Amino acid sequence: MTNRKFTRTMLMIAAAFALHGVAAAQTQVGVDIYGRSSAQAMRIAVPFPTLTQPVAAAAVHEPFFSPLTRAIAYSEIFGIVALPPGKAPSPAVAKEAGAQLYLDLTISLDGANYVVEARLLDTNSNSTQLARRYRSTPAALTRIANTIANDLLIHFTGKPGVFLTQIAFVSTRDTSGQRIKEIYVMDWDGSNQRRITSHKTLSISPSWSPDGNRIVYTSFGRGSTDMYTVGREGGARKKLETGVSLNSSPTFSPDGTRIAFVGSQKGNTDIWVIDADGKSPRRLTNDSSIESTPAWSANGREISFTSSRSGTPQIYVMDAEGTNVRRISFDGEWNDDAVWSPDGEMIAYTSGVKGFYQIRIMNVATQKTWIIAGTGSNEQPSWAPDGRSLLFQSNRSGSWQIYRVNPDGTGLTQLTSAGENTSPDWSWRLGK
Amino acid sequence: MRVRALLAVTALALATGCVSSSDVERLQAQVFDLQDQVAQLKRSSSTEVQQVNQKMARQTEDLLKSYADLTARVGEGDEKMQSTVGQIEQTNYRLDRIAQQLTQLQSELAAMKASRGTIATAPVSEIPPPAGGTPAGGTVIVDSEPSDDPIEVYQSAYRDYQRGNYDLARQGFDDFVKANPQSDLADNAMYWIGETYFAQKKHRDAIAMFDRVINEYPKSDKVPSALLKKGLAYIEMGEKAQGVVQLQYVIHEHPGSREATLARQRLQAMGIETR
Repeated sequence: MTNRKFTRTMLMIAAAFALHGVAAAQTQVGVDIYGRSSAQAMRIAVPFPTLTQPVAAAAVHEPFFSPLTRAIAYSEIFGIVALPPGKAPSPAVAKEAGAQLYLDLTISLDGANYVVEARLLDTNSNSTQLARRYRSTPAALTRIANTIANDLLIHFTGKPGVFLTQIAFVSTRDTSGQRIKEIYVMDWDGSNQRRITSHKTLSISPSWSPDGNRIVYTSFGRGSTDMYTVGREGGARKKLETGVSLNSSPTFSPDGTRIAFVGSQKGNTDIWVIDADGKSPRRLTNDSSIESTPAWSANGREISFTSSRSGTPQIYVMDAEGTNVRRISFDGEWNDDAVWSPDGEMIAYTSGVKGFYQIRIMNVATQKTWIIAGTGSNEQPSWAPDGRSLLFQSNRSGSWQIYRVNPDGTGLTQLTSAGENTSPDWSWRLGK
Repeated sequence: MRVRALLAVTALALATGCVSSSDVERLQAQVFDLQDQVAQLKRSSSTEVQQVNQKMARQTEDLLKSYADLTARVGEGDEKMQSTVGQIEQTNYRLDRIAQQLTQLQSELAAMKASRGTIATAPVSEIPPPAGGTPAGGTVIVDSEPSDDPIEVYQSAYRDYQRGNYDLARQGFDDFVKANPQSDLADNAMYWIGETYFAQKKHRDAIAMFDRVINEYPKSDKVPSALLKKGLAYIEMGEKAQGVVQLQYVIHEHPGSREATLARQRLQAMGIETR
């Protein structure tokens, strides 16, 4: 971690506190090398909501309270304080338990709709820091929970969390015994998993458009593989006519105007780029070796890719125009699946170390790397849109599943369990 | 007359019959002979064909074998070349690291010399008071001192480039080039300055910077990239003719390079024939 970055972040957060006049302004929240907050998080009490008849606790717990606390805990800006059992929760009780903040929630019914009132109190002054009212159908209660968590983060850091973002992935779950893979989508925390394609063949490598409205992926047809785009809730798909074969590993540019992919012409596999509307395909690499898995840098000015030109798969970077090519991976015998962190500072990739595949992270500027060690094979990383965590696929449990982990190896969470689940792609920041 | 005629006919018929039977025998013999010859011919031709076939098969086999040998050798060559490329990359990487260490050592040495000079000539000056007061209503957390470690300056500039802070990145790279014009990274830094302009669509400034890479560091490995980017910048600006000339120049100057291929593709996409 550079001191500069640390102090810069401190300044920003201090400014956010100053702006909102929170009494807890002295709380210093730093951001460490991994982009996660360190040390003193703000201590917040989140008691179960006060319910107005006829709202039942059971109807609120799973769809609302669980995702809300999950999201608040993930942010690491906040540390959740447990309230003593047996006492009615109140700001005073929370203060006694060491909480600086108290999130007061009430839920009532207005016709068929839920109304959620959220009030954030400073336990020292009892002053209201934030007060919002949300209204939704019962089906959208989880979305309210995630929106509240997002609003809390925006209030303190000026930036939304990942709680309204989604994850695309590949699963075999609906096709017992058959060799069929389809594209699925789930919420940021693994909830609400649903299928969005039905090619009934192999559909792989989903990648979100930056606006979160479309997913591009590769599907195997009769004797050919093609790229398609489909809406985030499924529906009509559109084939991209590239004029070349293979059409694998598609990925949207950060401005959403282009798609980089792996194309093959006359048996030569190279990195290609096509406009997002499927026009003017152009080849960027021209080597007899195999080039694969392109990824855009955060600023869209560079593209990383894997090439076997040195004998083993290694990671290279080029300008978006295909020039200025240089190799960047030197640790590990075998490196692939590079993805850039949202701030452009890190690249995560699959690294073969003594026959095992591990997730390796590289600081792009210094080229220093470290490994998130785990059992089994660990592959295909995808960054959270806030850069605080990564998704990857692992067979450590005996089947391929998708996990989330922090870049320092902490916070490991399994997100899928039905069937085999691979190729996670976390959507870009959505909402405000 | 009728009887004579009948007799004649009969005689003729008989005669004919006689001729016929002996002829048929002869003919038959001839046919047998011919059949025999055909059979012989067939036999001999089939053995010949077989021989030819065998010969061809042998030749094909030889050809295939030598082709396989050749392919294997080409493959070996490819593998050897790839491993050579790999070794070159590794070596370049190590050289880069050494160059970075050298730059760092040089600057440390310069700093040591400078400080020794200062100590010898002047007393330690007082720490100047901070410029400007405390902004109203807030505590000031002083940002860490800007580093004068050249590598850190370079890396920090590249970090800013990645973050899309192009003005900051440019400042950093410019500081680096000014302080370390002889560094092995100076040409890179200059190229990145060109890139910051390119990213901001300030194509005229980008071209000027790429020109500096080409002129001030003519042996730099960034030259083909700078030449290509110049051409692309002209085309982006709408100065198509200038861009085309520039791309043709890339092909002429660096015919075997990756950049020449890119230039050729771009020209072809514009409907311009290239050699």
